[in-house]
Amino acid sequence: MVGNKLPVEIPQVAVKWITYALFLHVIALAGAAISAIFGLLAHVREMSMACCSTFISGFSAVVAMFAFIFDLILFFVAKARINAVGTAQMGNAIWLTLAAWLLLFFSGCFYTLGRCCIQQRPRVPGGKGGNWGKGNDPESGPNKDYAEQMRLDAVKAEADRKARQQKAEAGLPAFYETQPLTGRVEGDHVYVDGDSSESQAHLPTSAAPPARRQNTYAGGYIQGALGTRTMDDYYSRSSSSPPPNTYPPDIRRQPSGYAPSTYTANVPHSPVAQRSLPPQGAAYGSTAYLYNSPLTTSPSSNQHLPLPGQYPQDAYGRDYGHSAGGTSCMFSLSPLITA
Amino acid sequence: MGCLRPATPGFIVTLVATVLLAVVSFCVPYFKSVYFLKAVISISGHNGTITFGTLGYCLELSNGTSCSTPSIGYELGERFFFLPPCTELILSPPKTSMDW
Repeated sequence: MVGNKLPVEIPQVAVKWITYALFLHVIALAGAAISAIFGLLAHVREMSMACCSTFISGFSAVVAMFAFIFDLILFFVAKARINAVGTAQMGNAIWLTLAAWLLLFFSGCFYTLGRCCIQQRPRVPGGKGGNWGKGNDPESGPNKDYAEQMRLDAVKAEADRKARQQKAEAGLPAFYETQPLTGRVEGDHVYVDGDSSESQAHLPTSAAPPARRQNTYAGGYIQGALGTRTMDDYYSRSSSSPPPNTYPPDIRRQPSGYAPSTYTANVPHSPVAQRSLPPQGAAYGSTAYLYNSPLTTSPSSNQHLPLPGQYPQDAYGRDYGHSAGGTSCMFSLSPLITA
Repeated sequence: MGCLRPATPGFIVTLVATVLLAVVSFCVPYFKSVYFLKAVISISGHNGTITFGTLGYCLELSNGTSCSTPSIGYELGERFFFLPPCTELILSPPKTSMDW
């Protein structure tokens, strides 16, 4: 019969080569099998094996796609030709190939779906999550314990911090004081109100007698006794507008006569620190700490004491050297002024 | 279910794809029911059916079914299984006209 257009009339080589293309199915099968093995290993090593599986299934999907296209062309053409002389019908195998291609193509999406929806995160015991998703966490036992432990540590640290904060006072931490602010200023001297005389001797050496303090910070800042700090002054006076000449901060001055109470020996900085004196005069410089002369001597012998107080009237209109109580007349001031 | 892990859906998908491809790969010479194409022919009055698969094909005649040996790449012109004489015409080279 003429006009046969069967696949067998195609030169044999071509037929053979075309049917070689059917072997792509076997190659895609090998790739899918390897991908399935990696998928099984992904239960153990989740991230890396899932990535390997998706990678290889991608290659297999490409091979399966080519195989499907070949099948489509080959067998639909053959079917058309055989239908001219007989009957032909398609089989199932080509649709199975199509299904396998799609599954391999979307296997990566399924891995991601599993990672999203199947929860592995640790939950609060007796927790609110319940059975959300498809059940969860056989493997989050160690994770759950660790998370719980960290959470408990954080809660405990927070409680400690709050307790410590409640013990501490409100307000700013005080500065470290070598000279405690419990003293009072007598004119140009600072008299420390001590419990006893020896307490003052210890003052320069000791950091802070803890008995005098109500609370101490571990960080080295110590606060003065309550009620005598500058902060208290500030807070108590904050409601009212301060008087114009409040600089330097008003140091408590108790009106007292020439009290035989001792004052601190070797006071390095005390009056300076309290007053933040303007740098005036060389006379003040090196002799700032020569308050050593005992006050039991006659006032006249105090003449060598430098006088931080007797400054010319400063801009604030206030005489430094003179206390409010007017008790500064312990020694003559004028001859010692070195302007 | 406590046995579901995050990797389980992906694994199931790849496993199903593997099974499907295995079925397709070893279809006609082994599983006669899965095929790519089935052609009904008549040879000298005998009706026969050829089913094509991945690694071979099968020829079903009234007197029996014979399949080609599984191989990579097959063709109808060569490598035939031993066939009953009434199918000699298939063995003839392609140039001869066949009364199909």
